[in-house]
Amino acid sequence: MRIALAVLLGRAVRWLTRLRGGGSAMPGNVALLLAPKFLEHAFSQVKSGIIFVSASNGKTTTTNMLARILRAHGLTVFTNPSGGNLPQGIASALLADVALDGIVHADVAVLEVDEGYSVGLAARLAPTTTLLVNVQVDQLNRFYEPARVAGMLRTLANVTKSNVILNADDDSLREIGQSLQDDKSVSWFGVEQGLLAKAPHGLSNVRQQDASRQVVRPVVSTEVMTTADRSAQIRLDSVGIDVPLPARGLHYAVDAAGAIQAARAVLGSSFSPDMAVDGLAAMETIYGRGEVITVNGEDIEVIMMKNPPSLQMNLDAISSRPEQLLVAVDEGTPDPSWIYGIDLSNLGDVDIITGTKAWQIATRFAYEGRDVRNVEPDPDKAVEWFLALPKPTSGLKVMLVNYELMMSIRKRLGFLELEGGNQ
Amino acid sequence: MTKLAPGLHIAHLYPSELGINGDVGNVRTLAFRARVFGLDVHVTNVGRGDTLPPGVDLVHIGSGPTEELKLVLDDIGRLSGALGALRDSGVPFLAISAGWFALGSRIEFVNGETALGAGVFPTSVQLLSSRVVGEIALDTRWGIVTGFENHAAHVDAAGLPHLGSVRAGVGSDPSASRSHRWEGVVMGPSLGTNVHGSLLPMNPVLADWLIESAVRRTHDNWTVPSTDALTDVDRFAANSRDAVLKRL
Repeated sequence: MRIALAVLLGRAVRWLTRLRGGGSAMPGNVALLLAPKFLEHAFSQVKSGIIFVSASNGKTTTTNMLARILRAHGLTVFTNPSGGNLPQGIASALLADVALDGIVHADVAVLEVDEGYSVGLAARLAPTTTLLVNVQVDQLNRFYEPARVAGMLRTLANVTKSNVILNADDDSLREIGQSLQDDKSVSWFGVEQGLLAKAPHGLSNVRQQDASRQVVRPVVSTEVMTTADRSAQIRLDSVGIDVPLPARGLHYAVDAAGAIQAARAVLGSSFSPDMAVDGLAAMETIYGRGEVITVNGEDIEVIMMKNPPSLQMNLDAISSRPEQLLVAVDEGTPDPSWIYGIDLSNLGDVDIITGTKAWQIATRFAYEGRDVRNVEPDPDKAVEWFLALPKPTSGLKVMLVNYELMMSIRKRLGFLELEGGNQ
Repeated sequence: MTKLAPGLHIAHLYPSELGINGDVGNVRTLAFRARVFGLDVHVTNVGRGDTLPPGVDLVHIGSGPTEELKLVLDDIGRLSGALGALRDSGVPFLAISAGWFALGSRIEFVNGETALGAGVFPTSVQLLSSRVVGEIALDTRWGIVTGFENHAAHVDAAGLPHLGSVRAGVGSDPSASRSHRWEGVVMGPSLGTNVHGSLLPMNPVLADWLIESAVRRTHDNWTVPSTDALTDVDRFAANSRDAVLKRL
């Protein structure tokens, strides 16, 4: 009864918030308030397991990839595709899926979980499989130190029942793998070492500076061998397969390798490389990571600056210096100091900088020796000005934006769907 | 015979261990401005196991996580004599948060363990379990200084003058009452502070003061030359400070 009420009222709130455009954690909050065990109840009958996916960067992409690979194998999959990776976000996603009984009728659940909430969610939902992609410098105003994040993910891995899938090219995850008890199966994915050595800034994972704590790279089951523009060759033990990627960049190949290795661990002998490729081919571009949007007939590339590693990887993947550039950063990045640690050599002069942190970002570009043509803290005015510029003579206009301003700019331009909401 | 331009040799201590908050922005700002001032600039990174290069004019050390601070403390004792000699010869130090603690006299960790710092600054620190995170604004002898604090530390200034009183934010003694909050220390030509990342980019007056102090050790009457080349970046920095003040 309580559950049915939670579903009904949660749905009503969901309908109202969607009417306003954009997503919200509010429906999930309402459901959890009415039925505190909403999540436990919902996932109690998932037959083939609950898979958690976490990382500093790449959670949404990897979750999406894994869900699609499992679906290509004929499984029914519940996932939280809206980037809603907190308990209320998962509850909101459930409201779109469950009947009045509040039960998820799927073979498997693939859940993107926020690092900070991963331990609490694991205690509630008892994941059977956990896939961890990386530990990187992220949101220090919230997480303080990367070691705290590693500690959370270690606890998550420890309470996972059956399979733990880890990135062999991440020092923190190697340490976690070594510390796990024998009662679970640990397997590894990674990047061929020669290919990794050629990446300008590697994978930007946190390095273990203490040599005495460094763990030898384990045997890797699924390994990225080569990358091309939007594809990669991945080795599955002794077999190589070519897989499509949703955007250019080595990090997407790493995400794909992690998703493939997790699917192999979950599916066992039922895993099919061809079906994995089919699943990955069904990926749509995930926006804000080299996505192209069309505004008034003009294509514009949007690059997200979420945190240092993701920005560096996205900049490394730029094919040529943008002729026209807008940069937008607001209070979603409380301390943008970290941009001083970013190699901006793939960027040239900036046409306009916007957001509440605009002047700090302008200072950064000036200390890179770049011209800053215009600073306009109001994003609406800045975007309008930028869009009105004549088209570049080559390439596309590029917008480099932090997550929060990306959401609001997209909304303003009429792109209403949620992150990853392309299920 | 051409007269050699004065040089500025910056030693950046432990950039790999103490560098997650963008403190390299301080070094970039010093180097950029010094080049505009016509100085011959060199930056040497000094990591664990490295010795200090000869001819250092200015020392920078940044902030970082506790685990990395411990690694630095395991190494820095080796350098304490040389660093002390630089301080005694008037070389300015800019030391940020964990790096400041490593250059201080003593550190007490949350679990009660203690460690000795390099002793360049007489300050000591007690690390706390609760954290201070947010933008900060100070009133200093250089005017208003703004930045971002993100630390879990209670610093004993050991009698040194403070960098500034806290106009908004918390500062280096979180136990101080609101009207007595202070941040950072000034020791001769050197600064130790918890304001990290964009301290010098956002407050170029401090950068120029450090550069001038460094160069005057070898060139008595040298002053920062006036130049138009920094007009834009200084305006951006001034507007950044105004934006922080408006938010606080």
